Amino acid sequence: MKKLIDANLLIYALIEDHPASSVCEAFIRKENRYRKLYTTMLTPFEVFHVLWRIYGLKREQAMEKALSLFNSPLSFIPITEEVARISLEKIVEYKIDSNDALLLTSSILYDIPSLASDDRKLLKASNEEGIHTQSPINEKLRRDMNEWEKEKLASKGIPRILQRIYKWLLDIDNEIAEEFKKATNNLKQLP
Amino acid sequence: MTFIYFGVAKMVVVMVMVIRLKVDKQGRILIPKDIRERKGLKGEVEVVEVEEGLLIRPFRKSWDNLFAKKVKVDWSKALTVSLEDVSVDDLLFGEG
Repeated sequence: MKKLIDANLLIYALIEDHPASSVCEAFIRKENRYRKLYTTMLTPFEVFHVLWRIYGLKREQAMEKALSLFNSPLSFIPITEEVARISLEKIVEYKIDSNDALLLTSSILYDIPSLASDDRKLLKASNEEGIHTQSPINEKLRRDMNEWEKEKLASKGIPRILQRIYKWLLDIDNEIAEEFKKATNNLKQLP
Repeated sequence: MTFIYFGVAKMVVVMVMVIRLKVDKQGRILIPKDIRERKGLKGEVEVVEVEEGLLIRPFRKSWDNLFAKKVKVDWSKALTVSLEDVSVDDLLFGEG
């Protein structure tokens, strides 16, 4: 038996205090006891970009973690011409992201009957293609994630955008970043 | 009434081969060919620090390589917790 694993589950599992970390790690390890696990060749890139640009890790740190995927028992499905052609059609058909389309197409072309993800759109599209789907994230865990977000992150909208600008400024000039923070009333309102 | 039990302990004799090797100026050692072949040491190997020295074994892909050292996120810098609403294509193919 084979199963495809989406990048989001790997990412959650890789972050130390992410609310879904232990659940996703346990899920991946358990699934691998019974079946070979696959992902796409684009997944390491997704892991890298998400860790760097969404979770704020340094590029080098994100790269190191993405590279360590190759030292795990995961198998990587190459993006052949056929995979690319069908994936492009799936992007349009289901309005899904490229890597999700690659996962879907890999499942079809490589006879992988099962797919695990936390992406509702991908799970829905996979179901429509007759692929067995699974997510280790249940409703309670999703609520925990929302609570975690409220507790640890700036409010959505302007404060989070200001925080992103502040973070970007920090990398360029500490003084300007602090000035920006003051001018925005601690990243709460526009300067 | 007295019961007398006789226990038979299994005796296991472990033969350990000890060889002496020289570490060169660059810190390299040459492991004899027959040992490399018997232990499957080719390509990448793992060097594990143990109490008595070093353990060299063939590199094995494992989940521990991925999960043993997880990454720490500074949540004040993170943009979201759940990736549900994140467009990964924007990240991968959008402007850096």
